[in-house]
Parts: sequence; structure tokens; C-alpha cells
Amino acid sequence: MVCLLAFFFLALLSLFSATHRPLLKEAWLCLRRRLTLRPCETRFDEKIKARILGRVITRSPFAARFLNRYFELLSFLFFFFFLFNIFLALRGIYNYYLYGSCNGLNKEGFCLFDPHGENNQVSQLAQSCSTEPPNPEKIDFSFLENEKNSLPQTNPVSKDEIIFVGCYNCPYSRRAYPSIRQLAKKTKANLVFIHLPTKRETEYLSSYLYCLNQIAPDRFWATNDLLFQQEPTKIGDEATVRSLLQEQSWDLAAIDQCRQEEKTKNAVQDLNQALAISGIYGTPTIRINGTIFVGPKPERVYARALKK
Amino acid sequence: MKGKKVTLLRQDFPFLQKKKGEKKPVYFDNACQSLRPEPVIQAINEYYRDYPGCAGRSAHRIGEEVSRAVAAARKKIARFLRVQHEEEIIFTRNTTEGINLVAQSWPWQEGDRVLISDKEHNSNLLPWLRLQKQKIIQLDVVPSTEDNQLDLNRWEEVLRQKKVRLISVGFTSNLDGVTIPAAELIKLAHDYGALVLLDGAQTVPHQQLNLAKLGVDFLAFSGHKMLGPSGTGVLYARRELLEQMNPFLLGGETVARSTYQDYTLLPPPEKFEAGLQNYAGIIGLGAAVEYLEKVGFDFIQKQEEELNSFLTAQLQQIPQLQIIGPADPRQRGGIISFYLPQISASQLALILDSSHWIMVRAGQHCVHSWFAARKIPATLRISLYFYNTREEAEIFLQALQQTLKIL
Repeated sequence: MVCLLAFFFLALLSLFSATHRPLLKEAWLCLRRRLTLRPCETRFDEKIKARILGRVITRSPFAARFLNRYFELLSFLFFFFFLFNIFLALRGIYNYYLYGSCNGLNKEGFCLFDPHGENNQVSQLAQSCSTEPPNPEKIDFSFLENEKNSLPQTNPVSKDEIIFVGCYNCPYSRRAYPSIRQLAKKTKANLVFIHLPTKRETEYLSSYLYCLNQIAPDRFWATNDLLFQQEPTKIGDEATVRSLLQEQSWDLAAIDQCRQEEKTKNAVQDLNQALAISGIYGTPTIRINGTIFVGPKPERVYARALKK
Repeated sequence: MKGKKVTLLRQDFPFLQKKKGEKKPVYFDNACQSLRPEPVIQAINEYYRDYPGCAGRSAHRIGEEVSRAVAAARKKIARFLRVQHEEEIIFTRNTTEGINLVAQSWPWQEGDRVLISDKEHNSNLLPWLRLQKQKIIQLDVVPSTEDNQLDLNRWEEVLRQKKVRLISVGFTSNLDGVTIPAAELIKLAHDYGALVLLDGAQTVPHQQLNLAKLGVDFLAFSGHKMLGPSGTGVLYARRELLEQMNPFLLGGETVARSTYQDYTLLPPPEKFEAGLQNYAGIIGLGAAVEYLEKVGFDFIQKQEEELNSFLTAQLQQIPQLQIIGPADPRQRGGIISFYLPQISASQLALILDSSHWIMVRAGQHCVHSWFAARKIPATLRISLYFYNTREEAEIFLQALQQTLKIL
């Protein structure tokens, strides 16, 4: 059993270290003989056992005696433990490929491929009515049934739908937005944009965005892209945004008039209330054909969700 | 006084100064190869650093310097062995090559018979077995006594009954350290017209030899078991015998002249030293011989005997432990080869190495035939040299006891 264990272990090490390859060869020769019920000629099993016992004996003769007596049994246990670990590692790789996190969809925890957990990071909302801890599984997008028509959309007739809840000066939203936008363009999926300000200084934008979409929905997305490209600090400054809109040939008077309308105020208020009880706790939160992704994921993850 | 000398000598061996944490190396594998003292290392380094040329063929100054150094080494070795003619010293890679040189170069006649003992190293078994398979010689194996010693009566019986051309036998066995009564065997062999080849690999490093007095015909030994560099060895052969032999390896430096049709061989030793030689090794071997002479064989033998006696007495107290060869440690030189039924010798050796950095040899020590005949799987072999100490022996015994408790 020790040959088998050593073979798998050394095979892994040998991927990265050439010095382990001769040992791997020895382990393989030993394993091959053992699989055909013949004794190991290279004495690899004996060598490994002796090396381990040699290390232990100087520290604890009792432990060395125990190890010597139950070496085969312990080898079996270690082997199954090793297999279990291999299974976990493979599952981690699979999860990372599917969800951008080794631990599963929107699950935090250490991941070798994303050591800082950036694919699960969100910009938390400044205030929340909820006393419960954030839970991606409790996010409910049913509010969209009432609100959807007033929100900016790229292709409402498409059967594929991407809902992007983000904010302009949040780092993770800014990271996810270009790939989502690209994906929507490429697949002609309907992209729905919801502005969720995580900081007070960008709250004013909600009415602007509503009005831009009401006035010229065909020009909305170019302006939205531009807003995501701005320095985060500029977005908090209303005067800067206004001059930007002016540069984009938007009619500021019409926008101001729209913002003063009761209908606009109600729409913005309704959306904010709906978002507050939706369970969304940070940006970006993205729903693609029913699957919710919290945090900026690699583009392949979004693309795969869209193909489902 | 003797302890002080050992302490001083040990300082010459860089390997013995090493440490792994608190552990110092305990090197008990001297029958495989010995450690090297600083003067030998220096001699090798000097060659590579100061005059790294070819001997014999190049006329430039460093070439001449190498020629002189090689000639000096040959002279030192001849003097060391009390050999009359320097040209009787042939440089080889090791004992194995020396024995093979004789086996392949001797002008065998039909019906020639070779005798060996039943505990020969593969180096002194396989060359003869091959010749027997090729139907060039007939090989006979003469059994040893119960305690692995050479029984002259048995040898005489065979010599009397069969026409023997050559006796090829280990002078000191690497299996159990037993040294044969070589002078008596040689006299006996010569009385019956047989030549004698001694495998001196385990003798030359430990005993002062006088080959002229001993009257041996051939003696092969290795440099690396006597403080010399790895891959060095010597074949001594009487001049008149060398002249009868045809080298089995031909090439550069073996001939005086050659044409497309023929060649004229140089006289010994050159005709047996084909191609570019291991000059650094030969010069290092000369330095090793010089060092051994300074240490003195009386001291070497006394030191080994004392340690062997101490270790044997302690090992004999371990139940079921079997020592190969005679019970008397004085008959086993610096070697103690033992086994314990149900305990793997190789596992024991590996544990001693990884737990206490004790280097001993486990296995069949290239004497597979002896082990196969007795159905003993392997032994653990301690082989001592003059730089080993009582303290090291105590560390070994303690580690062995500790290991046996867990196995």
C-alpha cells in the first residue's frame, strides 16, 4: 500500500520537481510488482518505511514501535485520506472552473487559484435594513416583475437575460461590467442594468439614469459605458457628471425636468425600496438566466451560465 | 596515547568533521570504500589545478610533470608492497578490473583448471564462470570450513587430484573479514605447479604486505578502500608472467609502433594501460599510500582489532544474533557481518542511517553465491578502519538496541 500511496504522492510532486522522478520510477516498479502479487524488487516500500521509522525513533520510540506494527494499516488510512484529498482538490478545480471559486457558487473560503478571494468580493451596501448575515441564496429578484419595464435593457426580446446590479465607483462592479457588457453584445442577450449606490454620494445618479433611459434608451448604454470608465472620485461629483452628459449632447434641461417629475421620483423610490428588501447585500450582483453570481467572476463563468 | 593519535588523524578527514544537527557521521562502511584524508584530496586538486596534462605522450612541461608524478606514484606503491620491479605495478580502475585483466589476458591452455573458494566476491567469481561457459577453463569451488575459514587440507586434496593452472582467492573476505593463510596456500600451489591470484581488496588497506617474500603471482586491489580516490586500483603481477600475457584492451600508449598491418606492444606496464589514464586518481593513490605508511599498519591493525573485539562482545549479547565467520574477532580483521532471523538487514541499516547517521552495509555484499547456498537473505556488515572510535561503536550499539526494540 505504501508503494501505491508513494506513487500517487510522488507523481504529484514530480509534476513540479525533477528530483522526485527517480523515486517515482522506483515507486512505479514496486507498485507494478505488487499489483501482480510479486514482492517489490526495488525495496522501495522497505526504504520508505525505514526512513520514516528512522525519523520517528529518535523522538519517540513508542510512536516508532506503533508505526512499525501498524504500518500497513496506517498506509491504507493515509491512502484513503490521500484519495479524499485528491477528490477535494479536483472538486476545487472543477468549482473554480464553473464558478470562479474552489468552494462552489458564491462560497467564500481559501482557494489556491484565487488566494485573496477576489472573485467573491463585493462592495457592501452602506446601510442595510436586514439584521441577517449576507446570504446569496436569499437574494430574490422577483421585484423585477414590476420594475423591469422602467429599467435600461439592451434586447428585451431575447430569451437570455443578464441582470447587472452594480455601482459606478465600486471596484468590483467596475471589474465585472466590461466582461458582462461584452458578453451581452456577443450573445445578444438582454442586459438589464440596475444602479445600486453603495455610497451616498452616488445616490443622486438614480434619477439621472432613469431619465436618460426614458429620454433616449438607444443612447443610454454608450453613456453608461462612459460612466464606468470615469475615475471613481468623479462619479460622486454631480457637476462633473452633468458636464459629461453635456459633452455627450444630452439635453440637460430635459433631464432636469424629467428628474422633477413625480413619476420619476416614484419610480426611483420604488426601485430603491424593492432593492432594499431583495436581499442584495453588495455589488456586483449579477443574475444570468436565473443563476445569481455575487462578486466579479471570470468571464468564462458568465458565458457558461448563459449557455445553460 | 592511541586515542590521541586517532583524534589527530580524524582531523585529516573532512567528512568526519561534518554535522547534521547534533549528529556526527559514523562511517562503518569502509569495506566498500574508505574516507579520504586531506593530503589525498590535495594531491588530486593539485593535479587538476596545477598540471592537468597527459603523461607519456606530451612533451610540454606539464605533460612531463604528470609523467613524473605518475612514475613517482608507481614507485611509492611498489615500495609499499615491497615489490622489486616498478613495472610489475599495473594501474587499473579497481580490483575487479585487475582480476578480469588476468582472466582475459592469460594464455589459457586446453584443460586449464582454476580454483576459487566458496565465498568469493562476484569480482572473483564471474570472470572465471564466464571463461568456464566459454569452455576456456574448468572452474572448481573449494568449500570453506564450518566457520568460513580456508582449510589447506581440502585445497591440497584438490591440487593433488586435479591439474590446476590458477588459484584465485580472496586474501581477506569482504563477507566476514577472515584472512586466509596466503603464504601457506601459495607454497602449496607452487608445489603443485599452480599460480596464485589474490584478491587483496580487503587486505592491502589493513595489513603490511611484502609481496617479494609472500611470493604471490598476482595481486589485485582497489585504491578507494585504502584512502585513495574512487576508480583507482592496481594489479601486481610478476614480470615474467606479465610478459606472457596479451592485453585484452589495446589502444593509445600500449604500442611502440603500428602500421596498417601490424603493431608492436610496449613492455609492461604500458602494454596493459590502454588509453588516457586516471592521472589524478593515480597521483591521489600515491598520496594515500604515503599517508597509510605514516599512520602505520601496527596501529591500524591494533585499532581495528580492539574495536572489533569490543563490538563483537557486545553484539554477542543480543539474543539470536548470528555473526558470520569465526567467533574470535581477532580472526575477522575489521569486519563484523551479522544477521538476526526475522529482521530485515536492509531495513535495519536504513533506520540506523536515517535515525543516527550510521553508515553500514546491508545485503549480500556481492557474495550472492555464498548466501544462496546457505539460504541466508542478507547480513548487516560493519567494516572498520583506523579512524573509527570506541565512541562511534557505542553510538552504533545504542542505536541498534533502540532499533531492535521497535522492530
